[in-house]
Amino acid sequence: MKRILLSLAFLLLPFGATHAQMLALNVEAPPGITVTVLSDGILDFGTLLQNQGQVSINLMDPGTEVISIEADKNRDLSVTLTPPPSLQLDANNTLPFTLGASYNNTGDNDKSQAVEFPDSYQKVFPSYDDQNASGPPPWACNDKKNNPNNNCDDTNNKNTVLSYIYVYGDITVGNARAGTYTGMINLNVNYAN
Amino acid sequence: MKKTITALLLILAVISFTTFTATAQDQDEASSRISISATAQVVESIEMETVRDMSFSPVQPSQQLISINPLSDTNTGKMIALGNADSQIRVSFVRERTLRHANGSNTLTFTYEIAGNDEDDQSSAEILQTDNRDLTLNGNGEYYFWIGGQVNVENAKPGNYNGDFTIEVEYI
Repeated sequence: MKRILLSLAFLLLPFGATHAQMLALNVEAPPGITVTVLSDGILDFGTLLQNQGQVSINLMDPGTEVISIEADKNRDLSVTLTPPPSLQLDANNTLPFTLGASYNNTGDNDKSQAVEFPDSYQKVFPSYDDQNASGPPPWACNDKKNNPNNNCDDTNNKNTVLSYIYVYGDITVGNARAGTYTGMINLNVNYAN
Repeated sequence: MKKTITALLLILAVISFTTFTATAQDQDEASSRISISATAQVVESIEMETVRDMSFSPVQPSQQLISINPLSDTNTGKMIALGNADSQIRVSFVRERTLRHANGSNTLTFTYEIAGNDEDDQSSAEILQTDNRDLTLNGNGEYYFWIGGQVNVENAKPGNYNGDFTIEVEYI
């Protein structure tokens, strides 16, 4: 009887070990999405005069907000920006606001290669698109075998790549009451596939 | 033996459940949401109100220099800047301006002296340089200017001389 018990135990132990390996497989599951605001998080139009008219922060301006998205390099991202219709002092005093947004999925934080979002502020794009990129792709940093002399920081997750979102826009200042006008721009990111 | 098998099956069930839970968490992390704020500070335009113009007593033939002290003379011009309370302002002006004879080409050069104060008190005002960046409107959004200066009339031909004075005030 004791022999049978021991045999059963030995038979079952590797089965348990197999499950431990399944847990390890979950570590290799598609990585999550990490969104980071690289700038100060405030699209600041500064101090403006009453009736000043339209004031713009353009894509190439230093005041543009920059957001990075770290995600699985082999998947498409669905990015949705939700702007406020206006910046508000209170319910009766508002400044019309038009959001501008562009993305760069070449792996470089480079505004000059950014593509403008459509009017819906919703776009699905690959995490990494190397059509116009020069040099090694971002994950080449991790490929020491084929790129032994690269100078990349290879501490990041090997399966991820960075995309960049640039947020800017226009406001129109009419005969608005003096004060601080604010609004929130929401950014939603998930995998599209 | 039954107990042993039951225990092992229980362990496997726990491991399987843990696996499922971990997968579900990964899926939740596959989306992200952040917000950034947009902001603008709207201020009222600065308005300049002229309380009174500079005035000169009739000039005597023997007089060489007309001088109006901006800190003490009652003949000074007076202006008020009106804007956002407690806002920092920059004040600049051209110190020398040309006064032209009403019926000729003769000119005089007037050298302005300006005193400023966030209180309506000329005697405690400070003399302003041609470019001042550290001035602040008071709690009512006001800043006071007293405009004086000097002009040499030693060689001036009789008649009326006219000119203007420009002071520029802007928010910093």
